[in-house]
Order: sequence, then C-alpha cells, then structure tokens
Amino acid sequence: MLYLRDFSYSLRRNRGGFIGFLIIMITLLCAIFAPIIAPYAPEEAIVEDSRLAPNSDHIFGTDETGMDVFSRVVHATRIDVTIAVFGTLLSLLIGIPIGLAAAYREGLFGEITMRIADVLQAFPVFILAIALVSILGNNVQNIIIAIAFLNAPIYMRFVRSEVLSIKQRPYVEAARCAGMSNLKIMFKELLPNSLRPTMVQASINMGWAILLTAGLSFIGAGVRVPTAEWGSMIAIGAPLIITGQWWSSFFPGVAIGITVLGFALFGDFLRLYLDPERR
Amino acid sequence: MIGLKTLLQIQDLHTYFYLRKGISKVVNGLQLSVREGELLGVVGESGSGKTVTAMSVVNRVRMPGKVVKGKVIYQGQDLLKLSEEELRKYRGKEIGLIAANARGNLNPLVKVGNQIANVYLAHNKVNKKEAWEKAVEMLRMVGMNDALRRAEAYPHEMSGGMAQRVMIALALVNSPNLLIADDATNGLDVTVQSQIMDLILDIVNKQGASGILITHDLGVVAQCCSEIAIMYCGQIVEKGPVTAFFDEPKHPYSRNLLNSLPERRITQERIELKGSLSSPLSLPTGCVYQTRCPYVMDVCRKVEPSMLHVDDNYNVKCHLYQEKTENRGSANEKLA
Repeated sequence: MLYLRDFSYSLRRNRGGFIGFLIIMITLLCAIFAPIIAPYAPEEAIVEDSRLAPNSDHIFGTDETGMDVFSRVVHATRIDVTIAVFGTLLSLLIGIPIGLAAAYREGLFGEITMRIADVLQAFPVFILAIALVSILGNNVQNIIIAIAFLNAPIYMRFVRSEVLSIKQRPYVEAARCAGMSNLKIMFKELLPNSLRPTMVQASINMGWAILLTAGLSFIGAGVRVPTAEWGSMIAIGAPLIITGQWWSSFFPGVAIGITVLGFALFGDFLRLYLDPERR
Repeated sequence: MIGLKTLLQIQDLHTYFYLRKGISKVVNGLQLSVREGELLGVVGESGSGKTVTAMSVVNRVRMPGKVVKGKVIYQGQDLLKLSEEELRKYRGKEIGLIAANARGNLNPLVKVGNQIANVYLAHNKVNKKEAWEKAVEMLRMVGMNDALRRAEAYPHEMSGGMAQRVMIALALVNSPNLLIADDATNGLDVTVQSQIMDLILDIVNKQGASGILITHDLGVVAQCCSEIAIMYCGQIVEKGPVTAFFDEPKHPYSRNLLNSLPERRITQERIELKGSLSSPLSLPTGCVYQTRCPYVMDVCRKVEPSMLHVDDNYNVKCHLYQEKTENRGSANEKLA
C-alpha cells in the first residue's frame, strides 16, 4: 500500500508521466474491453456502407470494404500493444544478461558477443525484420521474436558500456574489498546501476516496436490483412487519401502516435521514479 | 593490550604501475609489521604510496598496477599467493577497509542498511532479517542517531560524516582482526574528524583488533596510535613507538615533518624542505631522500641504506645511523 501511495504521489507531481500513464491505461482498457467499447465487430464488412465519412453511426467513418474504422482501431490495440510489450520485454531479457556478461568477462567472450551485435546492427533494421518474418512466417508470435531479435543488440551495447564504466567506480571496488562474491557484485552493484539508459531506451523502443509492426503490416509482411492492426489499416486506407477519404488512414495513425507518446512519457517518468537520488 | 604476536607482516613489497611513460615504482621494498592489538599510524605526504600499500595488502591492485615482489603475511598466510576466491574469506571478514571519500564507496541505489547487511551476509550464514538487524545494530554502534530510520536511507541522503560512519559500520560488521583506515577522515570538518577518530579507536579497543591508520596528520597519530611509521617514496624510512618518535625523530625527513608543525618544533635549527618527492618514475639510486636531505653524503647517492635497528622496536633507514648500529647488526638481519 505504501509503495502504491508513493507511486501515485510521484505520478501526480510529474505531468508528463501522468499523461503517459493515462494513455497507457486507456490503451490497456481498450485492449481488454475492445468488444464492449467497439460498436461493430472488427472484421464485419458492410459493403453498402463503404467509404462513409465520420458520422453518428460510424464516428471514425468506414473504410473501402465497409468496416467500421473506430471498432478496428479499438480492436487493434490488442495486437499492437501485445507485440510492443512482449517484444520489448523479450529483447530486454536477451540483451541485458548478455551485455552484463560481455562487460564482466571482457576478453574473448566479450569481443565475440560484441562482434555478433555489430553484424546484427549493420543490417538495415527494416530489411532484417522483413527477412526474419518471412523466414519464420508472419504471425504475431514471430513478429515479437523478430522485434526482440532486432532490439537485443541495442540493450546489450547499452548495458555493456555502462557496466564497463561502473566497474571502475569506488563502490564496486569497495564491495570487492568487503569480500562480496562475483555474482553479488554483478547483480547488486553493477546491474542496478547500469539500467538507467536502458530504461529510457526501452520506453522509446516500445513505441518503435509498434511502428515496426505497423511498417511490416503496411508492406504486407506483418499481420494478415483482415485482422485489425494499425499499420495494415493505414496501408489499406492509403490509396483513398488521394480521393479525399482521409479517415481510414488518419485515425489508426493518430492511435499509433498517441500510444507511442504515452509509452515514451511514462518511460521517462519511470526512469526518474526509480532513481533514488532524483525522487 | 599489545601482544607480542605479529598479525600482519609486509616483507619487501614492490608495487609497480606499468604506464606508457615508464614503470612507476609506487611502492618499492616496503617493510612493515603490525602486532596484535597494535594501532599503527602510517604517515607520509601525498603520493608516497600509502593508499597503494593498503590496496596491496588486500591484493586489489589492478592493471596497469601490479604487485611484482614481496609478501603480505597475515597470520602465517601469504595473501598475495591466494586466489580471488580464497581472498574473499579474508576481505571484509579478517581485514576491514575504511576508505576515504565515503560517499563514493557506497552504492547509490541501495539503502545503507542493506549494504551493511549484504557484507554481513557474504561472510555469515544468516537470513536477511538477521543481517538487517545486525546492520541496524552496527549503525547504532557507530553513533548514528535514529539508526532504524537511517538504515532505510540512501547514501545521497546522508552528510559526509554520516556516510563515513556507515563506511566504518561496513568495515566492522564482521569484526575484523585488522582494520585499515585509509585517510578515513579526509574531507570531513574538524569536529566530525575527531568524532570519527574517537569512534575508530573506541571500536578497535573494544573488539581487540589491530589497526593501520593511514593519514597525513601527525597530530592524529600522536594522539591515537602506539606505533608510527613514516613513509617516503614507497618505503618506510622510520618506524618505532610513538613516544620515542615524538621525543626524538631519527630520520632527517621525520625531523623535517615535525618541524613543519609550528607548535611542535623540536629543534632550534630550521631545516628547509626543498623540492618535492622524487618521481616514482625515476627514483634515484641509493637513498630515496637524497634529493632533499640536508645531510646528504656520498654514500647516500650510491648505496641504498638498509633498515637499521637503533633501539628497541625502533628502525630507521638512513646512513647517518650506520656507525652507531654497526655493532648491533642491521635490523634486516634481525627480522629475517
């Protein structure tokens, strides 16, 4: 309870964090209660209602095939948020321990892991994502794997560079002189002190993962077409913009923008909140 | 009580730093011993190798530094021959280290109580709750007001004096037999300094531990220690009981040091301290003090003086005392 009160107090003092938290909460509520919120089923196409401008029945309008844009935007949170959250978590789980180990055991092991990271990062991200998804097959699970795979080297590098500098700090030396074991030094001294830049990066990558998913769907390598997903919705709506029917691309685009903003704001707040010196 | 048993003996310690500019001989040929229950003050000016000596004792000199020669014998065991894993049993358990700059030596993300508890956990088979209680008890022992609440604080929430007390608690939580205080009162104001010194003395006496007090404050040594060692360019140039030293320091360097204290000028003559420490990168052959010594002789430039045994427990490394001790034999032979 005490932790909760502390958290809500800090959140109310930080306007950006508060907005970010609200956005994430709304997004999560949309994901959980999508069928209740959405007036139509996400893949329900009413052909005679196609390309309707926003009106009282369809507040975001309808797309080419007559599917309700609002219902689809709401349902899409399920897929996009799942991919963003799990993709980022998985890449953190891969990247952090490897980065820590690479910094702790410099020498050959560290060199080899870093060179592998170099190779992975040398590829253009989007091309590599397309390649991975087309090898693994395009479904949600494989997109998560692809995102984790692409982001892991970034975290690896962050954690490694931080640990390398923190290793030299006097308090780590002091812990050693007090007879602490290697594992304890790794997880109690080095890891917590090296996570700060990683936290920021993770919150940004959360948004970036949504953009990548959207991008993959946009070119057809992501989630299969009738499924409600922001990127593929933009793709479907894109040709219509020229003829003036902007709404079927616009609203999913706004949804992506707001969600990404929410994660970034909240991530920034979290970084400050977890740092005892700046609370 | 000062026992007769030797607790720690440093023999012919050489710690070099291999730099691009050349080999920096920070500690070269250091001899020192600490008996059980003894409080030894090591005094020397900045750059004389005091801290590197302390780091060498716990074998924590890192590249580019290296202990190239010598022995650090603690209770019959040469610490320099042990593996990291074996050394862990000594660090923090047998030998406690209090470093200068307390705040920098505390993990900024961990509550101080937990940091003390972690050190206790590393050497004792207890559960977390017991370790935490021990930490609070230690904080109480080092005179922290409201120890229970202070244990929950992070290092940045403490003043320099409080952080130093935490460091002391951290060093003493496993009741080490040997406490090394490396400039423990550095950067603290005078009142807090004396409190911290009293605290260290009090605890050392209570626990019956031995201590090495590294400082550049002769006054502190005069007040607290039973033995004093004067360090110059990585060597001990004079060592003896505090009373004998302050009555009549032998080495020209020690005389200069004492003369620098206005209230304790021991001789009428005024000796100028010319120049500075010889660079550890290019130490002169012969005596390390020759560049500044007012009594320098030809022999000082050629032959390194050996540790001469001039009186009971009193050693000095200077050619001036060569004749006086010739019939006694050199201290080195006695030590061996």
